[in-house]
Amino acid sequence: MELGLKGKTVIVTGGGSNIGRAVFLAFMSEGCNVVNAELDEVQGQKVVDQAKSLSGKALLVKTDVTDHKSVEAMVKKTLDTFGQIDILVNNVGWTFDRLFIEKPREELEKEIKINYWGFINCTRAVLDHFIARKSGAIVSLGSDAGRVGEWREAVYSGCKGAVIATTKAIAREVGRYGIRLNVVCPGVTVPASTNDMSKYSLWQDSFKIFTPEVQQKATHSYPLRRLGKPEDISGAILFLSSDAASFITGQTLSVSGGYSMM
Amino acid sequence: MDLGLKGKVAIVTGSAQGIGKVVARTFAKEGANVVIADIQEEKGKQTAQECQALGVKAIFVKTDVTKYEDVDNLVKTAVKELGRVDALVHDAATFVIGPFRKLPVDSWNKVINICLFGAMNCGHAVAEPMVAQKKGHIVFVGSDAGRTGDASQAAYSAAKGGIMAFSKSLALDLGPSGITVNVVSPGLTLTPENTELMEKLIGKEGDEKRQKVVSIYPLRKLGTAEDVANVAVFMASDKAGHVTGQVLSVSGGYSMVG
Amino acid sequence: MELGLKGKTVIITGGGSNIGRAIFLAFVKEGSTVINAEIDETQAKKVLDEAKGLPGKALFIKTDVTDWDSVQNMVKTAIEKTGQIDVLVNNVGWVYDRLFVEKPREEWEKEIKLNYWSYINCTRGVLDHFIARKGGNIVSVGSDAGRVGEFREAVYGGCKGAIIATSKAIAREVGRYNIRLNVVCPGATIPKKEEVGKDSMWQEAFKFFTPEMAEKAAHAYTLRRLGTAAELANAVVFMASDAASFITGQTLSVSGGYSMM
Repeated sequence: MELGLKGKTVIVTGGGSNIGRAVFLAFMSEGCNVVNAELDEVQGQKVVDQAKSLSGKALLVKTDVTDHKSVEAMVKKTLDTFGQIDILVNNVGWTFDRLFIEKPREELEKEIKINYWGFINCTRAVLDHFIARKSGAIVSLGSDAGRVGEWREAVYSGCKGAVIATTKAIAREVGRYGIRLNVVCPGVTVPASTNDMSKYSLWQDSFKIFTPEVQQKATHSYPLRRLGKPEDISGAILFLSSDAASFITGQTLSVSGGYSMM
Repeated sequence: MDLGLKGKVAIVTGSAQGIGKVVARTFAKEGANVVIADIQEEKGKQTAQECQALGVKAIFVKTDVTKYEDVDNLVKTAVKELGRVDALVHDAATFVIGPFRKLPVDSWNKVINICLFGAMNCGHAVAEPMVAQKKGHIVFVGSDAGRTGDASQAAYSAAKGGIMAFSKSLALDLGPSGITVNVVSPGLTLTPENTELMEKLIGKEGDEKRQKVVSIYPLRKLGTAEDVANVAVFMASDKAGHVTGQVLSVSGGYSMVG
Repeated sequence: MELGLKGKTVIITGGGSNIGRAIFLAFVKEGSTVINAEIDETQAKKVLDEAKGLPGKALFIKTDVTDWDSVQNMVKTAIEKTGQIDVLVNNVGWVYDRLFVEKPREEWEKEIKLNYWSYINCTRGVLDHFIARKGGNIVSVGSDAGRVGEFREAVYGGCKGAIIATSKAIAREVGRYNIRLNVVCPGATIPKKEEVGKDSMWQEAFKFFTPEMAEKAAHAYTLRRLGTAAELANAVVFMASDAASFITGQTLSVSGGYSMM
């Protein structure tokens, strides 16, 4: 399907691991200019190198999404290099599964900073440019946790619920400029290996929880009887970023094998 | 993006005109072979010809979706003539407009029959070959009326809301067999055939009445059949292989629920 | 309807103004012992006076819900004074309506603190007690902004969406202890000037929600009018009662049909 993505400039936050990496490579396959706004420089460069044979142009810009100055600098570097921005994918996220009453306060603070403030900072940083051009698409990673609440992910669920609600509000405000915002919600999405990941990825610690046995047991909650893979998620993100989805805004789409149905 | 639809077989109900026709043509552009299912023979055959001109196999099977025998025959013909069924998109629909308490009771029947029972007939008939394949994608065209209600289309909202509940149940049922079931939910959608009807309902383009309606849409415009067809075809492809039991509104932000 | 709230102990955060005040008085009418966890002492005492003559008991514990230590002290004092807590109503909230691109960062920080961290602190504050007793009820005030997104309330809506999602998650974790969490969502609820204290969001918001603005806004409501604080309070009281004992993880909009999901 002609998505009209060739030559477009895309920012993917956290493009070093798992879903972010799959999204980064998918946009590169479409011939886009893709900025990997990744905190782990080494892993970020590794992924940029993996994309060498693909038709797009890649740029690594070390970014800390919890720091709005770092984000603003990344946006400026993108504009200086490519002249414009068409698409932002808010992908960075983090959690460590624990019962709410067993959560240390520092982890709650980390989850709110990375999952919600990261989204606020990046979204705010591209909007002036989008409004000036009267064009732009933002796709943010939510989670089924944000739609139906997830056991052992109380505040992570809250942050993803916040991403969903704020996306709708901003969609209402900037729709008149032709700017679209949508959310894609994965379920549990397991990376292929622990080798190809940013040192900040939630999967550095979460494989201790999501052992092969736990993963197998979890598949029973999925109507499609399997957990997600990063490539499952990138199709929907590319589609919603593209002109093929030019009449879709303020929407939440779960790509989770039917884990939640609302 | 390669949706992987080349050589696949897609059935589209209600494809003689409107959104369904554009869905069929979009499948054809992706290289899929199409089965045009509609009660309107002349227009249906026309759609099939247009799809053939795009370089794929296309057949027309006259189908009244309210009759199970017709739908069963439709699916069996698809398998016989084209070898298999990879996707089914159900767009056949009708509506009645007016305040619910003022409409005659028997005005609902046609709406519920074509929209909802049509969907159930399709879901039932196509399950068998898809389960045997352990693969398939079913897409129902719903409506934002079914998500948030519509003051002047109660029966239509009921039918489209029913489709949403049915699709989730079917998704849960067929998921373990590798089949996905999803709903595409348009708002007000302009098609080549409904210009006159739209003008009657919401005024001509540029009219104050139409401007007022358009201003309710955050994207400040109404939908087109292509907008809806793109999503239906995406959902019918392997690129949406991990999406099931979902409702996606293609309505310029008209509804933002869930 | 026999709601079984007589003699129960209820904590309400921000019970000094508008919706909080209406909820406070509604529970006192039911004969509950109600604790106003309010930061504005003057306004809290005003409401205590208004509660005189009603069947229940009205108490005040000065609390800053954005401060974890203050919340823990409030809960400790509440248990010392009343023996046990049955219900927590998370009501404190704050917003100043502005386009997302016109919002100063400090206002976002304030909104996240007052709307979401307050909810986390108070919910966490009562949970150990509820789990020990194997019983308890948390009703939080959300907003339709958290369900469908609201123009000029981007991060406020986000915080309310966060309350909704977190309530569902915690409901799953503690349902086995007979603890229920639900969210009640108002639409725009304009108080009378005498019903709000100095920290209320309405001190600023009255400039925005003039009578003309309110009339215009009413058109978006299926019932063609804005809601009252008392109407919202009714739903909160119901959700907190035994009549709702099989309801958990739910979100109920009490907004005249503003959102329909």
